[in-house]
Amino acid sequence: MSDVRFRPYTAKPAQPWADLAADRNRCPVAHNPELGAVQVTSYAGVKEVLRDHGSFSSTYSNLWPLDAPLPEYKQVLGAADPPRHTRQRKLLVRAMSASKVAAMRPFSEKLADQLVDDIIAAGTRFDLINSYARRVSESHVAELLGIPDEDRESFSHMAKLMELSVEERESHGFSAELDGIIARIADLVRRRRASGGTGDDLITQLCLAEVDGDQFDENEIAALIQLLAAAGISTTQQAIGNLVVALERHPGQRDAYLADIDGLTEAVVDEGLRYDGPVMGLWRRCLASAEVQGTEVRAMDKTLVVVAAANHDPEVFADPEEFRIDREDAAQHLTFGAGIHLCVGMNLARQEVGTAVAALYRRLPGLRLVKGADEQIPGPLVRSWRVIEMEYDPPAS
Amino acid sequence: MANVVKVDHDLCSGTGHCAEIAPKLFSMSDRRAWPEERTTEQAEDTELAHRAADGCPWFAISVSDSTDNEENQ
Repeated sequence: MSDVRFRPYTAKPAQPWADLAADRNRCPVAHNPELGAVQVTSYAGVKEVLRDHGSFSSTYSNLWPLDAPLPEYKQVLGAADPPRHTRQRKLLVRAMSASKVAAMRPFSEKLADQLVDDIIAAGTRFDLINSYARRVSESHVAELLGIPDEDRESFSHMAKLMELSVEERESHGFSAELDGIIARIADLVRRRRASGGTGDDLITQLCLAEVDGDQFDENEIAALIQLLAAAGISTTQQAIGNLVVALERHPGQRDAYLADIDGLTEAVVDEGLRYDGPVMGLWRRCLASAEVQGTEVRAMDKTLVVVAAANHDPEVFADPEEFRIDREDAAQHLTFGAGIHLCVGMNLARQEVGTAVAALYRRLPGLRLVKGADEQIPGPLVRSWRVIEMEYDPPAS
Repeated sequence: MANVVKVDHDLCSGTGHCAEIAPKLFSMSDRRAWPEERTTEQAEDTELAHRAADGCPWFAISVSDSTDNEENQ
């Protein structure tokens, strides 16, 4: 009989913080029978695992933990180890750096405004997730990657399939369909290469990139594009939803934000990512026996670092269960990970969430939840509300 | 041998890894990292600078032998 309380597949509560705190207090590095894995719940422990990429491999999939490494072409970015990971990441950093993303700010602001226009045109009630947050994230990914209009639907569908996949303990039905999507993206790569593409979008850059005079394998590039698109679409959408729910459940903090939206958006985004970020946990596989905070993790143990627990560790954050937009250390959160796999989309994500939430509160007076968001997507990897129904005051006529 | 440490601010995204690994060589300001000194003279500092460069998730840090950079001297 285990005392571990975190049971994300079978009994994931809408508010998991008390369970995670109990597990952390009892033992921050502990076997979790429901996960069939070691769970790490302290800030120091999570950081230690994420930085020890030599001991903790990322190649056993990032959606659910496999018994064998992924086929090589699917070992991309978050699911790759060095030196393969290094080679791929170097292709991305220039396109996704803070300065490059800052140049996209006019796009982000204009998009948020247009999407709020659409909400206003449709009435005074809307689902924040599907009518707004998802459209914000899909449009940013399409803009950055240069996804052709006719393919946008299929990228969106693919992100949905990957979201559904992480609810399960294994792949179940979607693996074949996701593989089919990689094959179709590989076709896109071939076409882009054949046309000698000249666009400055990321897909074209990835298609034409060379290392030592060789282009990358088209299936590897396709898998990389698939992962970037799916991760970018899902996580940012969830981050926007989680932050708005946090603000609505803390009216004092929301009112403080409303009084100075321009000055406080960055801080609000950081605290939102700390308090209830979209990444609940990340999978690793221990390759050779390692120590984490003095506790042994055995070779071949599956390991889940519970980022959400780390972000509520009282050793690092004072009164961690409080949502407080005036924290000076909120940006220390581990929602973007740590070490070599630090989220390559972090700059874009912060900008997307900030511009989207600012536009919403600036333009929709009396914005409020219609009924509490209360259903969480199951599984250990994400924090995400299925539906967030909202309304606002109609404009005075 | 003196080594030149540089941070490419087009790439740096202010994650602070370098300042954590080598606080005497890097400081954080304005959401960017800044080398405290452009050159490192001591072998242990050079080693530390290399570790910071290897650990930077944005590949923003370069450490090079100053003789490679005469145009910058």
